[in-house]
Amino acid sequence: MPSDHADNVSRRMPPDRIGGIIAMAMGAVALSESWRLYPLRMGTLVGDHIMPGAVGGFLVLLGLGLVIRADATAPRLRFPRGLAALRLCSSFGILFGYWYLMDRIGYVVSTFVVAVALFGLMSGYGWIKSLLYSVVLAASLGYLFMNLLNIPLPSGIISFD
Amino acid sequence: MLMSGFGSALAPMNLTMAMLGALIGSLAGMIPGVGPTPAIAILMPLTTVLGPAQGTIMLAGIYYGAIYGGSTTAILLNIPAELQAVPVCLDGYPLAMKGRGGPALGIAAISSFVAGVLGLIGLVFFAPLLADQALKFGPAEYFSLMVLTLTVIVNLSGNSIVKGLIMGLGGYLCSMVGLGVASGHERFTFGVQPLSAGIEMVSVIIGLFAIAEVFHTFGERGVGARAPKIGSVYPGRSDLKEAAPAMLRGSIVGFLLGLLPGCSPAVSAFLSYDLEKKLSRNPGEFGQGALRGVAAPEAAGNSTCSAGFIPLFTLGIPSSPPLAILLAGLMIYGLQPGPTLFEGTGSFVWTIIASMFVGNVMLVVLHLPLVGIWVKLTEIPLRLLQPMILLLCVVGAYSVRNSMFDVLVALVFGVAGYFLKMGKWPLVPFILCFMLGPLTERSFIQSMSISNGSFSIFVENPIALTILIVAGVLFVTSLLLMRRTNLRLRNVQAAALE
Repeated sequence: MPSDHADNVSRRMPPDRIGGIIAMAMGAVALSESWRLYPLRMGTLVGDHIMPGAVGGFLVLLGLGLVIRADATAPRLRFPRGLAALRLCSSFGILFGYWYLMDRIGYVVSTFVVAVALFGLMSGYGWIKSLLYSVVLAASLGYLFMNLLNIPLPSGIISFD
Repeated sequence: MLMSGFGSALAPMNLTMAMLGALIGSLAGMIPGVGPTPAIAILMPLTTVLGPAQGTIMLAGIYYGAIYGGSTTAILLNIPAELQAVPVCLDGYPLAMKGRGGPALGIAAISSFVAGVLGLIGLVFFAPLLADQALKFGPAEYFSLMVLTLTVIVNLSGNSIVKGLIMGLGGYLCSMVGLGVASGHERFTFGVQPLSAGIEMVSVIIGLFAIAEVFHTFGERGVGARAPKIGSVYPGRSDLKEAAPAMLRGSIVGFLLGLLPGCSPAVSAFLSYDLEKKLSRNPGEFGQGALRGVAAPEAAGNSTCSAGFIPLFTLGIPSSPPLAILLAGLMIYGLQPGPTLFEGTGSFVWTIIASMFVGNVMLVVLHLPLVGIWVKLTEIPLRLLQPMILLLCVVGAYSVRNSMFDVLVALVFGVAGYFLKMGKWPLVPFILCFMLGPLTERSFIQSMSISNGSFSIFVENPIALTILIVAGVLFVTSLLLMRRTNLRLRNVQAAALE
């Protein structure tokens, strides 16, 4: 069963151990960058290599400490499941879609579409409320940034410049 | 200088920004899941189009406004929106249940005002003195100061110092993306051209503190509780007489603790509550609805907030998460908090300080009569706010440099922040070290250049050595204080469950 599998995984790999491994990986990247920059130094302790080296070293050590001391009996993380997880991931996906679309089809259309999607999927509103709130939100944000703050937003299919 | 600061603070635009910030902060402070840190993070891109003074006035207004607002839900709904409001719940909510919510709110507001004003008076006297001394700082002193700042991580790390240190180191790592401070060679860009300009701080703040927070509260409905009826919010003479000594004691305790870099308002709020209980002739009344149990922690928390501006302005050390974000705001305006802030931009600093006086007056005048409206506003469903906040964040991230790459950075940090929050990794050490990384590295490299690679420069220099010793003492003291506060919190939670 999926939930039993998740339980077994978290018993083998406590969340803090995963964090420790990630910290060690980041430390390794920092150390390798320090090694790359070492020939460009102005002195043993003067150069762009020193901070990456120090930070990398400490990250590896602290990460190792976390890996070793991670509490295997700590309560597992409670991520949303089922439909809630789908809605959460979809909401993240919608935001990344917003990033992709805004420059291509402009602020107005992309914001309206994304707002409808978020009000519907994330907030659980029906079509009519989602459309209404989206129009108000897109117009308000556009007015705030473009008219009040004089910040240009991407123009595209429809624009009110 | 303070009088000219008042002249500038009372200019119509500055006054408007102070009021707007204070009111937004009050509202943010009342809504659990929002709070001052996400509110400052969300609004920061908007303030970049304002002048430095107006933007900072607004952001500072959000901060102290949130302190006022946090006690409202603590008293009426037993829901502390921030950690420092937890002691206020202990006696504030029982008072509300007895039909004395109005006087409790009144005492909380007056305590906040008194403590805020006393804290600001202390700021006016202490800050220039400290700034004068700090003008003698050279690279070795600055590096020692950065080490002192690391002690702040203890207070900001929650239950795990190791996780806090890892997050801090992660912040240092991200601050190194871009061009190296010594040679100008690219670091950690991996061939991605936009990274050569570094990672934009506002995008990181929006991602970690706003977007991640929204997803962290995904599925929550909001406050979901109805407040009891409030009568008059103006305390009687006997109430004021009872609470006055506690207000003053709390203000002094909070101010002195707030001078310590890294002491959070929550620590001083709990300590003040405990002190008041010990001094009381009738300690049994605490926890059952004692006005002093509301006045003391509220005054202490607010006073610590005001005092926190002293190490922020004079040394560039933020003592709480909202101040860390505020520090980022100052740096975005090209201002370097620290010794040179008073020297080079003194009029700006005094304008901010004066506006905080004005803001405190505005809050105590506006907050109490409008408390009924504030409570109604906390009933706005979170699910309505969440898409609005997310879209505001995306557009805000874009608006800083008109760059879609900054939006991508904000979203990536939003995802990372969500998982970090789920795993209970503290986020503030990350942003703190991200901001201070370049200064730390520059100071260290300059120190090593001066001393030909010898660490003795930090020992032979008396100011640097003193700061390092203070850092060591503070580290241990902070550890002990945090342990004590966490133990108190666990006891409070256990008592609530019973």
